[in-house]
Amino acid sequence: MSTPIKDVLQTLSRHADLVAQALAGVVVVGDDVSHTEILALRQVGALRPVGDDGYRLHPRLREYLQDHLQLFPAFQSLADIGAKITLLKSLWDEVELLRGDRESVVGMIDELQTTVLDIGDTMNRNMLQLQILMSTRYGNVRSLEAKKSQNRFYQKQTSALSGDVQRLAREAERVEREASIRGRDDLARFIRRQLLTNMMSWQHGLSDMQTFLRNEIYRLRVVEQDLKLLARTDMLLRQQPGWRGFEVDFSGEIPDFLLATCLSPLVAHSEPMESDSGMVDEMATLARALPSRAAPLIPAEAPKRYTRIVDPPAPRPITPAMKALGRLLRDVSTAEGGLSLIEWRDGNVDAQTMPPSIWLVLALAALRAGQHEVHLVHNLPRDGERFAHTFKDARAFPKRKMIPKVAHRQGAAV
Amino acid sequence: MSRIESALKRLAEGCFVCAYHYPDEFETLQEAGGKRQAEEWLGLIGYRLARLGEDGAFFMAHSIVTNEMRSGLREEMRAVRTKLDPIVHFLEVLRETQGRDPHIHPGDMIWESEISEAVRANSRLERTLNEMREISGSRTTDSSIDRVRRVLEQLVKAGYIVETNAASKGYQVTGKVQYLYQLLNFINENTPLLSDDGVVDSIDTQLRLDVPDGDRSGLQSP
Repeated sequence: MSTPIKDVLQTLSRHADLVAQALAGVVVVGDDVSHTEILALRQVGALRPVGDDGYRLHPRLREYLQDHLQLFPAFQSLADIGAKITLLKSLWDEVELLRGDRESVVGMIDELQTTVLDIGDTMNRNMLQLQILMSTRYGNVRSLEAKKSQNRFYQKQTSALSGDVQRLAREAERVEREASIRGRDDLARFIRRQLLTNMMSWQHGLSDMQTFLRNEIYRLRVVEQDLKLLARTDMLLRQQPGWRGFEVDFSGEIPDFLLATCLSPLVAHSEPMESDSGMVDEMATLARALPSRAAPLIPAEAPKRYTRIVDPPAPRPITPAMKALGRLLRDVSTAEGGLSLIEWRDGNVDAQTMPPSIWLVLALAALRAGQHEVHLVHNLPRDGERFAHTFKDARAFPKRKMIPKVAHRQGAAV
Repeated sequence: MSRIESALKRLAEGCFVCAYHYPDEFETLQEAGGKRQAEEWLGLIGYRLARLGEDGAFFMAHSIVTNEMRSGLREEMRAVRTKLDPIVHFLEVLRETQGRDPHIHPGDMIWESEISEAVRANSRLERTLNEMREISGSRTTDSSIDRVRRVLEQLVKAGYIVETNAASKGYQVTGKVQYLYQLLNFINENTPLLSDDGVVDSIDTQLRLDVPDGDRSGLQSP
């Protein structure tokens, strides 16, 4: 038996290829699409004209197929439940108004129950769609800008749906409460089962989605900031080749990433195995490098004794100065009236080996060391000076000889 | 070697364990048991388990910050350029080759063929790449493709990307790149060098050669 529904389904089945093609986009009459096929689908209302010669799939049929295949385009809108909530409210109000007309009320309640089921189905579909989008991060866009736009789109969609769910909760609770009061327990139970028990999971699901979207929007903002900083750092490094770093105060808390570290690498200590050919070769190399036999024992040596070596005393050479000084000391010892050192030098060859000034100082030092009295013969003071500072000769006397008064008059002793 | 052992070894080596570079180890550290084991082991030797962000790569961090460490970090920041060169240049080249849709964040895919093609099509990028002295092993006779390959190899060696498709030369950005971004953010927060505060974009009115001198004043900005 042929029915209108069977005819429609058979037509769709016969032209399934064209339906699939139309699901992807607008179809036009051409090589692979015949006018007859288009006409057949047009007759059952599956295709609708668009533009001059194009045809598109009926929106409800497209929606059904996408639901069934779980194919969601990048900007798939969530199904609206606002109109259905309004219908639910209107139907219940009419049921209240037509309380006496039993037949009409039954029809209205049937319609109301169908609306409740539709709302439940639509919400479940929306939640499924959102879950799929969340699990795939609705990644079917190619650019960052498109992703941002998509985020905004779904944020608005979920906000609107969230508002609708709140409204639905209010209306459903009101209808359920009033139905209970009016003795329509079946209807109240039906609403509880179909709507109120699911309300919490729907609201939680929407809340999760909104949180996810907020995080996603934040993440994209971070991505943009990262890329901007990367570009600027690259520019900084190129434009300022002398820049090495910056000063920062680390007295406070330090970010975790700066504390990243690693352990020092350990030197491997592998156990040599007979089966390891590399290790066998290594051991053979080491064995060949060993000395051929044990080294002979070295006899213990007696402890060495050390003797201090002292140079033999060397005879001191007799210098002309020494000879002259020896002679001078002897002569001074016998000279009761003293003698002049300069005059004495004139008569001694050894003393003449030294300049007069050197001789004078040497003889003075030697005589004073031998406790002889020596008196200097000073030069006259220079012009402008009150005292004489230089001497030209000295007179030496034997030991414990009194100083003649003449010397005192001549000047102070040095 | 068990997964947790491998994960601990990677952490001790100073690796950033993420879902793209060491997926098994990352999965182990994500689990409560694995994470607890890692924290206990690291705690015993004076370190701790840390992450780059909430869901970023795991790494080993110092548990206690000493004064010497603070001084060391200060010195590191004084010479932070050594940490930035040449990775920043390489990643910036990759970013520029990807046009308006750059993807150099953890998990993003990079294809050598696409990068090479973009470099060949853009003489400025080609010149930039040719002038890069930081590319290790590069020769003056290298083509742009060779240089792109060397850059990618160097990034693999540094742990910023990992080869996931050897046949078609596909690479995936690892979680370590977050370390670099966090460092850049830190520099931005502590220096005015990367900030755009006070920067005013302006376009000077262009002088036209075909306009007489007397009429130029009308073209100039007030």
